[in-house]
Amino acid sequence: MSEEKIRRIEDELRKKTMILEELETFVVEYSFQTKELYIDPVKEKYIRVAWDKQAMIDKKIDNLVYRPDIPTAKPLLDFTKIETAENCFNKRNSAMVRIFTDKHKYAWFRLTRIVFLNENKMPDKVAVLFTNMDEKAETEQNLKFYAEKDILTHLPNITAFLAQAQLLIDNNADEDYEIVRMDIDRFRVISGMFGIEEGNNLLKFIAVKIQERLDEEDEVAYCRIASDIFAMCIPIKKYSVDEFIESLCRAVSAYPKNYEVTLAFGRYQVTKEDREQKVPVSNLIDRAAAAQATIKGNYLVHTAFYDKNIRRQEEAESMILSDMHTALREEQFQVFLQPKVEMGTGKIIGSEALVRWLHPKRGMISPADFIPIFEKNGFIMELDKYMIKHTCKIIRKWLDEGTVVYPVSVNLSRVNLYNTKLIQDIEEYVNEYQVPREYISFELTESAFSADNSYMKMLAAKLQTKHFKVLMDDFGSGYSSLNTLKEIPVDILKIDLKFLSAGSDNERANLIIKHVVEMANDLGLFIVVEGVENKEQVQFLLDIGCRVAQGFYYYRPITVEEYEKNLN
Amino acid sequence: MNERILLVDDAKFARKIAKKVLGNGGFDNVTEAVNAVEAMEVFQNHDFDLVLLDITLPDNSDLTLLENMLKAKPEAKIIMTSAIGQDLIIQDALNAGAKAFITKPFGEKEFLKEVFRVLEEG
Repeated sequence: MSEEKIRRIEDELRKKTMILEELETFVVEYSFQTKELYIDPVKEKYIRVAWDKQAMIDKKIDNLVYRPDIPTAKPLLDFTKIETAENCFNKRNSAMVRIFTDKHKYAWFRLTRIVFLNENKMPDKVAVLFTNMDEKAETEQNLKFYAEKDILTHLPNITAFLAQAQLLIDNNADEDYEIVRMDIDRFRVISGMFGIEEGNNLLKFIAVKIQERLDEEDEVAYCRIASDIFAMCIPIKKYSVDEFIESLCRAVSAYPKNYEVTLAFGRYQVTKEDREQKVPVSNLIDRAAAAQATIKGNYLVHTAFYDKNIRRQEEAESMILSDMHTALREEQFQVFLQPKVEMGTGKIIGSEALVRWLHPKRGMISPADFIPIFEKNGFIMELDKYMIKHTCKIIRKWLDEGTVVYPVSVNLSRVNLYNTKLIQDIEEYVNEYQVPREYISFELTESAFSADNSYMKMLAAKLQTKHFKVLMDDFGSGYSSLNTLKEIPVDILKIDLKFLSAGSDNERANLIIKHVVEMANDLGLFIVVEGVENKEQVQFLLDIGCRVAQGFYYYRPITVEEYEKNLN
Repeated sequence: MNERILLVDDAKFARKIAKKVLGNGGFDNVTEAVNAVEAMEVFQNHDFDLVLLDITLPDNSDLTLLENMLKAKPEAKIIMTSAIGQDLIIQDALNAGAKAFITKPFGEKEFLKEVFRVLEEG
């Protein structure tokens, strides 16, 4: 070979070596002719563990490859395997494995096996490229881990759980499953008082205790859904869920802490129908959640089963949700009026507008059945707006017909505290129907006051600025009635007798009412007493200086037509 | 790797995971114990290069077993494991002579890193 040619070959070799180094790659090569193994010295840059060439040729790679990756690495590091010509070209021989870089350290490398053929197209050499991928692989592994696992507790995440639980239920027809949804009572309070880190420690602890009690090999599934909510899918022929719950609670009670930790469980047993109808696991968790909701705030009961009653409730709720928009559009909601009466004369001097739902198929639906649902989903704001509009319409009609008009008070739900358009909507309707402002007033419930005084104060003040009267409804039922009274500008106090006369000590209740009425009078507030049901109550109220009452003793909530008749 | 490891944990799941990870790291010589009495007996009658000791056992829920083991063999290398990750507990264990403290759930790499580190210590 000429010197020129040798120099060119050396140049090429140098370039290729530089490229490999740049790619953090070194080569191990085996010759089928000489049966010798060559290890690129660059290897020492990455791997400080000595490699025994003969051991490698003999496929003894335990000290080279991290154990779980040995099955993957072996075919690539099988140097003596004679590849067929076809195999050389058809297979992509590459894989990521962990290689020991030091006695007790390992890193990710991509191994790529290449077979070189001679002039006769027969395998001549096999080379394995080792490319350092540790940083990239670490990131990829983390991504893969976190795609399926919850970062904090290392339990499967909800996505993995839904898939796993579905598989279990679909593929094990002989096994019965229970879905259990668990959370920690007042977890937010615990984190708030003791810090997020302590809250996280507690969650990790609980996660470990769940795993210690449910063996993956027993075809269970579990996860942390979010925050302090965990879900489990438990085969009940293998496990007693009662015992699992008891054991878990015992373990949690042993956690060293200065606060009480109570776990609440909602349970749902997967039925044959669920399987036949292929109900998704997420729906089953919802049912367990519905069961759990029935014991929220109950300090004595910590486990609830989903049963027929809950199902009926859910179905009723579902019907209400599906019909509410139509009901609004078709004006199925009706304004009923409950008159306020001047007790001395029995004369009507005002009324409260109350909503009733006249469903075309179900008949009259009580507000108790739909108001809480509307408050939960915010639809109550639409309903309140509707009631304001229709009340204005009714007052307009009275004015046009020459009917005597007494003020009508309309309820505003606590959800409206945050409705920035409320005043605007009120004014729009009042202006549209040209209703003098002294004929319409607004009732705010005291429990709403306690929730957020600043917003309530703002709303009450704004209404008064617009010359509307403000009533505080259910006075005495909230947490800080006196403070509310001090802070919020109201015109009229509505005291509900049921709050004050519940229980056996009527004398005490009567004394309280007497003094509340005195206080209201001293503050210049008008009083309406609600829930008046008998003559004795009327006499007592008159004796202590009350004049106006609302209650079944006088009138139940009645239609506008009945109200008009009663005026006459 | 030929190091002899004593794994003390009453939870089957925890022992299974730890054993699997130790095996991945090449540690095949692992003896298990499920409570303090059994652990102490095995510990006294055999030599171990490393002890992995869970704080919460049915018959020992504090550092007493750790202290007793170190009293018997002061040179013993003991790593505490626990699902309780509170700082105070960790500090107490290290002050009592544990070489490391691993909080559950642990990642495989972190776990082996600590095991390797403690084994390499003089």
